[in-house]
Amino acid sequence: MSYSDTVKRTWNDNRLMSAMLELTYACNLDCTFCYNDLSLGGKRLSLDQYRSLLDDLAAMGVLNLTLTGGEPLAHPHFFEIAGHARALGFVIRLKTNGHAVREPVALRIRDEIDPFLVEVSVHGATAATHDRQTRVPGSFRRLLANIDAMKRARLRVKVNSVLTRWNESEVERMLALFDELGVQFQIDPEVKPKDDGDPSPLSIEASAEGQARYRRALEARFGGGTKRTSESAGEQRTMRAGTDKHCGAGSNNLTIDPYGRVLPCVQWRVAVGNLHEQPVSAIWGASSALREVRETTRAVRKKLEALGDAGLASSFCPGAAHTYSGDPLQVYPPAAKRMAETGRAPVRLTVL
Amino acid sequence: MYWTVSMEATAQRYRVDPHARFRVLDDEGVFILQDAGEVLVVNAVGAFIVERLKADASLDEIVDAVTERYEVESTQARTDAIALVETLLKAGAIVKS
Repeated sequence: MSYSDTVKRTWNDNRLMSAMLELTYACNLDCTFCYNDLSLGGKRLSLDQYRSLLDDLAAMGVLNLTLTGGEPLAHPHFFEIAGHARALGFVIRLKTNGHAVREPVALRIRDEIDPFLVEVSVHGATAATHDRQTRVPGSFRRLLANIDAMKRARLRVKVNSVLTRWNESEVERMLALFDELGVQFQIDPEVKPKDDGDPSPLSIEASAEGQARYRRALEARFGGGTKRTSESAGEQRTMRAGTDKHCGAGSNNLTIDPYGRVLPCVQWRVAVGNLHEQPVSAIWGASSALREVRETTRAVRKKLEALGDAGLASSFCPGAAHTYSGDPLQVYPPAAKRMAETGRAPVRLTVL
Repeated sequence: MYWTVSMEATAQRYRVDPHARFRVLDDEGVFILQDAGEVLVVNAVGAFIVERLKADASLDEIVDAVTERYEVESTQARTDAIALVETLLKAGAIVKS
């Protein structure tokens, strides 16, 4: 039995495997396209509630735990929460902007959390581009120094970037920089709206020329014929063989925001319960909203398969669809564009 | 080879490597080997054995538990348990206590 088979079984069986905790929306940077809905309010989860939550997640057999924000290290009890998570044996991923991870903090993260991966965001190959995005002068130089400190602390570091109109002209230099840093990296070619649907970040989405340049740079870096998995209908079919769902949103993963709202995944911002009212195990087992989400992932799968290769290669995300239009089955512009590129006109998806 | 388990040394105890993580997902056990960046999946019997290892049982005690639970001959259970432990030691999933 392979790991991917195991993961797909968790989709089918609604077995919670991965949880993402957005500890706080506070941040020490001020990124232009930050997707967090900073207008959200509510009662923050207490340290005791986080401890109980982690105990519950461990008892439910959750394997993967991602700590994110905002900037997770800005949470006043970050190390208590993460340390408790480590003691419970989760595979921990830490998503941070890296701004605060100077050498002593890097060493503390290694010693007290032992994360599987630390993911940081780099927004360009130059200080001018990166700092324009973060709106904090000096943040680029400081991040590079901190990545070096993390590597010296023997932390596994991955760089995440989003391709934008601001950095598309230096994408080759970004790849070279990541190679020089000796880190894994992932560049998302798609700028997304904010979590509340505000489309303002789309004003800096990469141009068609920028997208083409990005693909050429990837091909030059990885060799001819390189394709993102999401672009291949065949790969998509293989990935989803053995399950009737499009994705694991609400089936094997969930996200919890700083106010205890439980969401099907980080992209799908519809609360299916709240930890101030119920423990996570009760929400997972009995939430009618969660059942609806799971059925929607089945409906998405059916509809995309009916569209053939174009649908499968569209990288359709019901969470993104919901953010764009409020309808998790509505084709949104980037998915429609990918469908058109595959040779089919975009089609509006409706529930069966 | 450091991971060889002697048939005579089955009083030895083991634990999950501090840099590895283990969970039982349904009937299977999943190790995440953080340093190697690898995943190791063991079947239901393997998961049962690892849970006993985590509970500080010796190999002798584990063989008894496997024999009782899975209706297998003691000799076969011992051979299989030792083989699994050797594999897990070699992979860096467990260490000797």
